[in-house]
Formats: sequence, structure tokens, C-alpha cells
Amino acid sequence: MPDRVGIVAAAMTKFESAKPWQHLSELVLEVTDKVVEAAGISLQNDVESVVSCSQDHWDGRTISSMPIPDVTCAHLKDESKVADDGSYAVLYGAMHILSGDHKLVLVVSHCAESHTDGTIIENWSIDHVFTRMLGLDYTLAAAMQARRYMDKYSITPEQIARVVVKNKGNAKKNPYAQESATLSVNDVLKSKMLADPITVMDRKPVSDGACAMILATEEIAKKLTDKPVWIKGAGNCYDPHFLGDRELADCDALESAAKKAYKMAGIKNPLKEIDIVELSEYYSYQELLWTEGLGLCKRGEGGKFIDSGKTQLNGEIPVNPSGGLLSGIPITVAGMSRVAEAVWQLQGRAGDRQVPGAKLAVAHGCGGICGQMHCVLVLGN
Amino acid sequence: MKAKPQLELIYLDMTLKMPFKWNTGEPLGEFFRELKANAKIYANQCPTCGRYFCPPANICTRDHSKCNEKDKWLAVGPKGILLTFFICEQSFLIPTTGEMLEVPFSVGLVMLDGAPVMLQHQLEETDVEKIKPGMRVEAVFKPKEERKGNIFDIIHFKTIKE
Repeated sequence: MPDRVGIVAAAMTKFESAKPWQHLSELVLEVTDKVVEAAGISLQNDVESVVSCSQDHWDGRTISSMPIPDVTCAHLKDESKVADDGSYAVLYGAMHILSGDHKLVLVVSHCAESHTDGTIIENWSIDHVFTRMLGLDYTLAAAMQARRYMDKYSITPEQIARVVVKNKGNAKKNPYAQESATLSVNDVLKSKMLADPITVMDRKPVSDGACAMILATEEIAKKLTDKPVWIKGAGNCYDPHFLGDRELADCDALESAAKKAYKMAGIKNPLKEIDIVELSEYYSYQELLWTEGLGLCKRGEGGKFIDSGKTQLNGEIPVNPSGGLLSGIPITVAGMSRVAEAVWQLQGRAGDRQVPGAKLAVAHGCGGICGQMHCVLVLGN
Repeated sequence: MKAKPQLELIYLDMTLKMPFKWNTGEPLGEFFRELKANAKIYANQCPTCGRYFCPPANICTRDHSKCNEKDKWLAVGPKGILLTFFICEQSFLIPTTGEMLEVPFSVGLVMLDGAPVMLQHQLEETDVEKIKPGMRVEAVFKPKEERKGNIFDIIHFKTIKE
């Protein structure tokens, strides 16, 4: 049984609000070819299994992984799909290797949000007999959660706006980022209101794109690269679906997932030991809440945490140096792109957004309404 | 013995609307442009393993070789041989149009003249006594002004005597 799982290489498309010249499978083809080249391997001969992440309803076809074998040379190979979020595909890809079944796995995720109406698709994920007909979507649910979070812990709109300012600013240094901007807190507070307190700038933009990575056993990872990134810890946890069944101002599921991942990785003091964090903030307030769930600050202190400056690009523990989801990443790809960014940071390949000397990173993916499920991966070099 | 009172069965009726605008990507987009503009059906071939694809592929699904050079595309059909078929006798609600399927409705896999590629499309003939695997068929196109650049630019395959 192999000891550790190494991430050899990662690749992503430039994210765009629409990519009209590419079929969904061609997004996968693009990142597959890129990552295979980056890893220096043969797609036909070295990749034993493909784990993909896509969402049937966003793609408009059930079994949305059907075109994957065509473009990943995976006919008559092991291919499986996970929905939810791309971070789960990394987790299951790692399990393929830890089980001893496969030595080298291609992990890939894709989504073209521009193909459809996200409000409708999000509405479909909601309980069909009790809640869906109220007309909820993720933005409206987020407005409820943000309101509850602000009320319980006195989080201010300015603190939330700071997330947008930081992440859109960080995105200027990221060549893959869809959107970047120099903003002030006031710019964010004055932008068009979608559902109080969520403004258009507080929500991640519609995006198309894909991401891929190569996972391998320790032995193979060391042969393929002098900068393998190890998965040191993993945790996965789910909250109830119905929003009324949980305290929306807290994120128990994330806290639990993070604790599991930290225990596995031997982390006792996350704030001191972790060098960078890439988390999935579909809405700006979520970054504050997720930093609490990740144990980087106490419950209710997410606002104070961003005020402290510690999460800035040049701070003690940069959060989303890539620009995060607010810079424009599609659902499904989101969590995997966080892992990819963390991998590049640990390999010293993060270009202008590089955090110097990064040795330990946390990558976070979440899915479902108001972050119902969370996957936390601790990575180290 | 008194019968138990009937409970009212509570259930929820909902029809979901699915609006999509899918990208075709380049090879498929060009395939549809040729259907629309020229009533031509195109296929292409992997330069490494020789496998044919219809519609043309940009990457070989077997060995991942790049395939999409337009000047290497070949026109196939519009005639071909019927390999197999189905005839649907039971009408159902077509999700893409919201209308009930007119039955009998037959669809065949046609091996088009010119390359070992299959096209799946409606057959004009719906009488099972008159459809024989191996029979010759020909694509019937809509008039140019009605063609839109999708698979319905071909109306169906008609049986021909050859």
C-alpha cells in the first residue's frame, strides 16, 4: 500500500465569462493536454485512471462525464465521476492511489456556466417537495446566511467588502484570472444590490473553464518532478441541507473537515503553521466565515481577522493570493482550482502572486447551498 | 368491520424548464456549417491509427492523435447502408419540444458511403416489413433556406433502390 500521494503537476484554462468556441469536452481536452505536458508523461501509457468532476445539471446531460474518455484517451480504462466539487475529485483520485489500485491518476473538472441560467440550476438542487417552489437560489440563500452571520457576530459590510477589494486586487497578478480590479471598500458597498447584503460585486461572476492535475504514488511522483506536492491531510464533512437545520452563522461541517485534515497532517496551530490558504468564496462574506471554520481565527472573528491584514498577499497567512472565486471560476472547477493554486505556490510556480517560501498550504472546496459540504486538503512540499 | 378512512394522497406536480445554449466546438460547428451551406456530410480520419470519425473529431478517441485539419476532411454519403434500426410504437413526451412523439417513429444507424462511419437519423419508412438491414438509403435534406445548422437539416433517410 503506497504511503503518500504526490501531486506532480496542475493545469487550468484561462477563465472567461464565456468560451463559445469550445465544446465542453474541449475544455477538458485543453487542460488534459496541458497537464500531461507539464508532468512529462504519456496520456496513453502512464495514466491508469481518470477521475472527473462535473455537474449533470450545469452541463445539461445526465452522466456528464460521458465525453471524458473520448478526450482523455481513457477508452477501456478506469473512469469515474464525482459531482459536488472538484476538490472531491482530488480526494477520490488520491484514494485510487492509496488503495493500491492505480499508480498514476488524471483528475479533471469542467463547467461552462455560460451555457445556462444558474438561478434555475441552483434552484434545482433545493429540496423538491418542501423548499424549491419558494424560488430560492444560491444568491438568495447566501443573503440569508450573510444576514444571520452579520447579526450574530456583528460583522460589518465594510469587513465583507474588504474581501472583494483584496481578492479582485490579488487577481491582477494572476494570468488565469477572469476579472481583476483596483477597488475601494466604497466601490463595493455602492455596487448594485442583488439581495441585501449581497451586491453584484459580492458574488463570483459567471465563468467557463476547466482544471486538471496528475496524482501519483510517492515513487513515481519523485521520478517525475523534483517538486512533488504531498497530500498531508484530508477532511470531508456535510451539514444538513435544510437551512433551518443548522446555525447559518457557523460552519460546523467545515470546522469538522478542517480538524480531520489538520489531525492527519499533524497541524496543531493552523495560524502559525500554514503558509497560504486557497478557499472557495462564492460570496465575499463566505471568506470570513470559512477562515473561522478553518480555525485560523475564533468563531465570530472573521471580520476582525480580515481587518488585521494577516490575510493580505503580503500578510502573515495570505488567503486567496490567486484572487479566489471572486475573480471568476466556475462551480465544480472551483475546489480543484484552489488545489492547483496551492500546488503552484508550493512548487514555486505561482509567478507574480507567489508567496515566498510557502511550505504548507490549505486548499478548500465546498458545495451545496450555503456551503453545505466542505472538503479540506492540507498540502506540503 | 368498518373500513379505515382513506388518507388524502399529497404529492407535488412540477415541470422543470431547462434553458441551454450549448457550444458545438469547432469540428462539430464546421460539420453543421457544411450541412447548412452545402448539404454535405463530412468525416475525418486519425493520421495514426486510421480510425474514421463522423462528425469529424479534433482528437482521436483511441490514441489521442490530433485530427482536425480541415483539408483532410472527406465528404461521405449522402447515400449509405442501413446497419440496424428501431421503430418506436409507444408515444412519449419529447423533452426538447414539449410535444408528443408521432408514432410509429423509426431511427436507423446508417453506414455512409465513403468511410466506415455511422450516422444515426430518422428513417422515412416506418413499416417493419419494409426495413431490412443492408438496404440502401439516402439522406433527404431540407431546402437550403430552411437549414439551420443542426442535425435536422437532414429530414430523414429514404429507402432507395440500388
